[in-house]
Amino acid sequence: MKTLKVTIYVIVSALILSLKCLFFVREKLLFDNPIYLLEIVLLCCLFFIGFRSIWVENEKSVLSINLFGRLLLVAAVAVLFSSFLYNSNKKIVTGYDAIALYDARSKFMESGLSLKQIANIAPYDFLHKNYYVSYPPMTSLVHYYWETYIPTIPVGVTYAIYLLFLFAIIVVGLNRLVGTNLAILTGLGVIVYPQLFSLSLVEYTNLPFILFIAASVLSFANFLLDKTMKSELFFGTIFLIGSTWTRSSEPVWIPVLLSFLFIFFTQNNRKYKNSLVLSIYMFLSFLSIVVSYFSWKVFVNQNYSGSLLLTLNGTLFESIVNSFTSGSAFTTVLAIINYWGWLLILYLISLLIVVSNKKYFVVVNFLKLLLLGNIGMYIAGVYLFSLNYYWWVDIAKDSLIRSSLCLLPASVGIVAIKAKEIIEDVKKSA
Amino acid sequence: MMNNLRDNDTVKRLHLFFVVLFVASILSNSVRRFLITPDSFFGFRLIVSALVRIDLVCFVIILVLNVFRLIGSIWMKWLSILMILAGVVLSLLNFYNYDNFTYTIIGLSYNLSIKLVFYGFVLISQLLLIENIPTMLKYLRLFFEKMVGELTSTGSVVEKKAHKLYRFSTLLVLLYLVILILPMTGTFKDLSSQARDYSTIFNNEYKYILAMRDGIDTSCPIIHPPFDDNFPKEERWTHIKTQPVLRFFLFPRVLINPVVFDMGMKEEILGRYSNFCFVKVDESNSVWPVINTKEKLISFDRYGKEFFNFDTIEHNVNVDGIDIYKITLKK
Repeated sequence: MKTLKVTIYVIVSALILSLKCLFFVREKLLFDNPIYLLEIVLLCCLFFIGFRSIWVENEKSVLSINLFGRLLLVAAVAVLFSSFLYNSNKKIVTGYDAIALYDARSKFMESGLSLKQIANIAPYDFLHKNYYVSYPPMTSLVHYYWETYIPTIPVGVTYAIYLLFLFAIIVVGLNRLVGTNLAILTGLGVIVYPQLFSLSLVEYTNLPFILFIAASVLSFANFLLDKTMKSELFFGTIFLIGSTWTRSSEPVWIPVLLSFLFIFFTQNNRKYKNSLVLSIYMFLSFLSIVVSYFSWKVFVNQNYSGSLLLTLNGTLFESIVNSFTSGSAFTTVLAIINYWGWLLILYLISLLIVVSNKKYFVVVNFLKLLLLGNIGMYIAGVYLFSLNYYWWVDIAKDSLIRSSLCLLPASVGIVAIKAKEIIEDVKKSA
Repeated sequence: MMNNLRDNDTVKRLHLFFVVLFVASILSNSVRRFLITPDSFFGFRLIVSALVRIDLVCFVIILVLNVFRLIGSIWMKWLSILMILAGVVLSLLNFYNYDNFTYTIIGLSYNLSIKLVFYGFVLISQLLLIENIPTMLKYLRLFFEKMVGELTSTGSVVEKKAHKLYRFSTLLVLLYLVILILPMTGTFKDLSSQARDYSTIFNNEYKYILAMRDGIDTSCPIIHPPFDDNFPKEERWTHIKTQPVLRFFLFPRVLINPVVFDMGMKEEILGRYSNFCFVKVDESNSVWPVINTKEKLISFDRYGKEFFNFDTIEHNVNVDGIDIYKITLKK
């Protein structure tokens, strides 16, 4: 179990760390602004402290698979393999934004441009003003290095690998909470969810985003469960940093971080609350997430010479008031809920589920709080977006579901914890 | 202070006044629709248009005053239920007929009906909350501090509710699993999708992209079909008017959306470049651009209305039979 966990954590966080370092070196950014240097130093610190403590810690959970679990594992391998086969058979990048943005940027990089130059590549395009810096460069860098060093294998295969890691991280993250068999079932349930599985067939940023969010949420949950596992805190922070570097338009990290801090500090745990070392570590993680989020904003502001697409204008307050007096705010919210559909219902149901086991209460509260915060964040975000752009319906229809799938692992996690309890109750009474 | 205010007649009257004002505000929508004409009395027009806009303010004031008026809230409950019903009926009428149906017949718009439902829900949940505040507070504390399952059965109302919720979550888990698993029949249908090469993604427009890539010199700026943000319903040239898509294939060529000529960029662009290249789009309903070789005029806009003068025009045909032009525009 420990080997598996160390392997997965180290590979995923090393991916984030190495891509960030390569990016800063390639763009010659390190000494442009102190924030970049600070970010790299913090990230390296987190990685090495985390790596050191993950070896020292004694991992209490063990892998125990029964026949049912083995069958599920075979099914999961079949699902992952089908995604792998599909991706290795296609010659091109599919998906609109994947072609126009993520792969386009990597193609421009291959021709020798830096992202600084790519930001201002289209002086006459007023419709897609800051298009090339509207998303952080993580997936484009993966495309760039993959296509440079492994040109024979299509880059889509990386998305099958992300799916594999998502499955593995759910199994590893939930193993301690619900046991191996149920964790495998949960992982299978997540990767077979139609919209999520389709994300592994197109080269969008959503799948790596879901991977990083799920990984950080589960790491934080494990840390809240057992505060001696400090490595979970460090790696969770690195994963959350990875998520802000994949998509920055939805601040999912804010509800995650806030609910984590809230639950940590409201828990009746004097021993840990007053521990100086732990406070320093918490501060370090908090600082590095905020720094890395703003380092991308600094990059855009310094290197993009035009005006930004998503700027809030002076009439915002006016349009909010107007939308409430005319009633269009209510129809907008109703439409958002309608487009979100079944996925929202799943999240709401998982909010209502009550767990009785005292041990898991902390984790379930954490997951519920971050779900609630994110649902509010998404509704408010799409509503604010709808005030400025007539094409908000496109966002609400597809993007909302794709983007909010990052909450699915948390939501299914709550249900898995409850399911474990029910199974134990049934076993006891039988 | 609360108790003093509760039995205060002024508060009662104020409460009633705002409820009446609120109802009047909703009904004034109909008045505005049917009774207001341009030659109505100015004061009347002013009052009605003010009334139409103050429903939210009235509603908030009612919510505040509700806190001080616990007694006699039964008719308020009926009012909120009535609001929900009316809102649902109105929006269903809109749904089954056409979007503006209820506005046409009684002057209450679809937005208003949704608003009514929302107000009704807020009002009734507030009334229920006010009645149960002590219980709710206890329950919230339980929810966050104690474990629901740990409760010893002393038989209090709160604990019974908590136990009920605990039993209820088993049902919820089953419901969740059903909702999670049902759509999974469609999981693998995307595996059979044929979008594995560009010609299936860009359909019949891909041949123009290829023609531009292979037939146009990298130094020649390309003018592509117009993408005008003011006409979101434009369906012609779906992909070949979108610069990010074109740039993916045509980089490092400079791309020019003809709409920017009207945005004050004409002199700058014509000052910087003299030759421009483009391909002629020749689909059944979307021919672009309009070229008049006799009078040496060319139009790049959506309907071929504004014309540019040109000096020379070179014409090539590529293997797929697509016309590639190189043009020198007059300044």
